[in-house]
Amino acid sequence: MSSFFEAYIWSQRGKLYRLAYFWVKDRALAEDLLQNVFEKSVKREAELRQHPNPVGWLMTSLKNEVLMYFRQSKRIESIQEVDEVMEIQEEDSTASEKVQKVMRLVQELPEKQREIFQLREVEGLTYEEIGSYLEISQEQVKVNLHRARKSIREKIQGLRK
Amino acid sequence: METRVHELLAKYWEAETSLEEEKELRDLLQTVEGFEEEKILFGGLGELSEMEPQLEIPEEKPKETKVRRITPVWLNWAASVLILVSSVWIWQYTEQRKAEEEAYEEVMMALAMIQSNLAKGKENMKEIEDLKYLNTTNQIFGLKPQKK
Repeated sequence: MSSFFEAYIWSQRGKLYRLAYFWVKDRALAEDLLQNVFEKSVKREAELRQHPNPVGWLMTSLKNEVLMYFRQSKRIESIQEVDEVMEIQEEDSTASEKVQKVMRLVQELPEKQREIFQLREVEGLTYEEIGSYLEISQEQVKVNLHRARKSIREKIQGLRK
Repeated sequence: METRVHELLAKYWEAETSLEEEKELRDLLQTVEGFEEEKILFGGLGELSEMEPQLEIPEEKPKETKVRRITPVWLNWAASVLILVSSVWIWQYTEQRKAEEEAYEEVMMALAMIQSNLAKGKENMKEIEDLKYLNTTNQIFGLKPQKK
């Protein structure tokens, strides 16, 4: 396997897998979808080598793979966003109580806030890294992260009452 | 310690903490009393960050050769045309062989007829053959020789 694939694509598997898991809430399905993305990326390696944002490409490709799977398997034409996938997918009963609770808190966030929150809290990325992957400014990252945390704090406070 | 947790949490909710401070906050929450909801949140996020996939590295695609590939569509068309041309050629060849055989039969029948008629003619010639045994013209016409 080429060093490019290992350095820029294969090394992202954990992060991409956890993103897919958030969307589909099924570990085996998230793995299958990610495997498909990696196989496609091997075929398009020459194109990816020239791409200014290979991680962003992988994230978009994974999102498209998820949407395509749900359009085909669920026979629902109208699915346009992963938010709709998250709404129709049931909770992962094999996950721990803590994980299920976090998934419920995060699920209701708007897509951009959810992605930024996840990349920061789960992946531990800097604002700069998140901004480059999502192709937005660091200021936008910070604003969206602030809104996401504020929203989650309100939900947690609501649970206390 | 609890004061530090409060301080870090306040910064955290305002999205003003650095990655180092967020790590410090997670570590402190594991030891401090209370903060149950925050513990669940950071505990769940911590569990999620440890999830790893079981995947196989995809096989590298074979290097493309310089040989010009014929597309399957063209290959299908070429095969169809070849079958059509072959069928026409075989049909023509069979028809030609059949015509040659018929002509041969006709020639053979004509030759057989000629041979048969020749045999009949030969049979009729037998009486003329017998003429050679007659000595003279007088014998033929029944004349007596003249005395001198």
